[in-house]
Amino acid sequence: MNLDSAYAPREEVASELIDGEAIIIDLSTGMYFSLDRVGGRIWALLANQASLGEIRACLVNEYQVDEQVAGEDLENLAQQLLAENLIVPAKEPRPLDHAADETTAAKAPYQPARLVAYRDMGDLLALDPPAPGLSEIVWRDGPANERDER
Amino acid sequence: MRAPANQELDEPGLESYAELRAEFETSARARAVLERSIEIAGRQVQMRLVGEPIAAWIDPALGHLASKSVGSSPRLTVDLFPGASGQPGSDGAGRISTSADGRFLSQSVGGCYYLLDRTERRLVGSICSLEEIPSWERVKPLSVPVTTWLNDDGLSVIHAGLVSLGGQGVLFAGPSGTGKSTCALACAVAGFDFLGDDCIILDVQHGTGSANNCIGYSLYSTGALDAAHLEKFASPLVHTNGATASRGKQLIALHVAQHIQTVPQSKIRAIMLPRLTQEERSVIRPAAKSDALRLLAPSSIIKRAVPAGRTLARLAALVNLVPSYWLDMSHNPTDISKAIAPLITP
Repeated sequence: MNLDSAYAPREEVASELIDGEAIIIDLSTGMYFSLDRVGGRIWALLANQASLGEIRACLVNEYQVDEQVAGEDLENLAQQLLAENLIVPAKEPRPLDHAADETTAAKAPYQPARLVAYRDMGDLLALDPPAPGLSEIVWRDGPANERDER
Repeated sequence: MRAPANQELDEPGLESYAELRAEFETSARARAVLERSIEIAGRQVQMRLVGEPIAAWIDPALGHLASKSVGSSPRLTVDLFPGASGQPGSDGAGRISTSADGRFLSQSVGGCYYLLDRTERRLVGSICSLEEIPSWERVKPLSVPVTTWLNDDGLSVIHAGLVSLGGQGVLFAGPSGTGKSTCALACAVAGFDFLGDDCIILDVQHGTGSANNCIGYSLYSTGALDAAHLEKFASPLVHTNGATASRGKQLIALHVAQHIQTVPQSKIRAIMLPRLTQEERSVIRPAAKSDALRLLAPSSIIKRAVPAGRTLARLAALVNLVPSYWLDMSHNPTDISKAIAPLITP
């Protein structure tokens, strides 16, 4: 594992964290995924383009896990995310705002991240498309009347 | 705002928009124009429909949103006219394009060609052949331009059903085939107010942290249900001459069903995730927020006409603010309303 490597979600991937879990949706294929709590934490750090080294340090700091196990699990998850085409290598890592070496008072129990894939949506959309041709749209953001999130 | 000169046939621009508007005005002078004033998500929409056949297509889906007042400055104008063959949209191909600056969005689908000016909030549509309109566009007319306009106004159109009692609503979420329409229609037949069976406008005001600010608005009063499920309803629903929606589902026009009440909006008090079980009666159980988002989000954002990120963020905010439940459905749809009514009745 190259600890200096960093990744970012592919452009056609949308994601949200909810209760610590990540819901990840590949808009180009219709497939969607979930990552449980440790995985959700890793996804949030990956999405910020933290390096694998920094992510591993965060995991050791926040969970009851040693550096070797955290590193092996992290590499395993990164390989899965790459295989599912959800992340791409980032040009350069973005340093995290907070220092990972500040020890967290109470560490949370650790479970290796588990990526669950749901492959039904592609089939359902093929049967019942919202509208044909939408995948071809080149979206450009709205003009002056665009309202931002309130 | 001026759009750059655009000669590309597929890319809409100021020139093609002006041409289409001129064609509408010519058509409107030659034939009867039926005016409709409706409110979509509390926003006034003024429609001018040239000829009875176009009104007969639009009214069943949007007529329930009729507004008594006619405002001088509508939030959207919609002008539809019968186009001649050979115009864009008459070739049956589904295609969406935007101008280089994003101001104009066009869609050609079946026998229709729509052009939306997002800055002026004006939609013009040439309807070459009503017979060629695909089933999903027939049931939910203008869905792509209307979704785009609403998104520009900070609202999302989501794939969910919604019913309410006294303004307190229950949202039904899940991909196609999981029972959203069955649940929404079962509740409507049982006396709930009906807002939609699989297409709802969502307004979540961020930063307030209150479920009071999660509002669902009705868009279409038409629904679609498998014939097998339709037979389970003791009370007759209104069919549109046996017309089918998608995947062989029966098209249902609810606005003319006298025993069904449609309302334009309600608060969203609970999210229900239906699933068919072998239970003797329908029961509800608490669901995780992540389950709700996983079932609500994909079919609401994949292959939609607007950017996915904003809708996904609004859905996440909704799921954070409103409790979610599994609805374990029995084979008898008439007991669904009894299972969920306690959640929204004081």
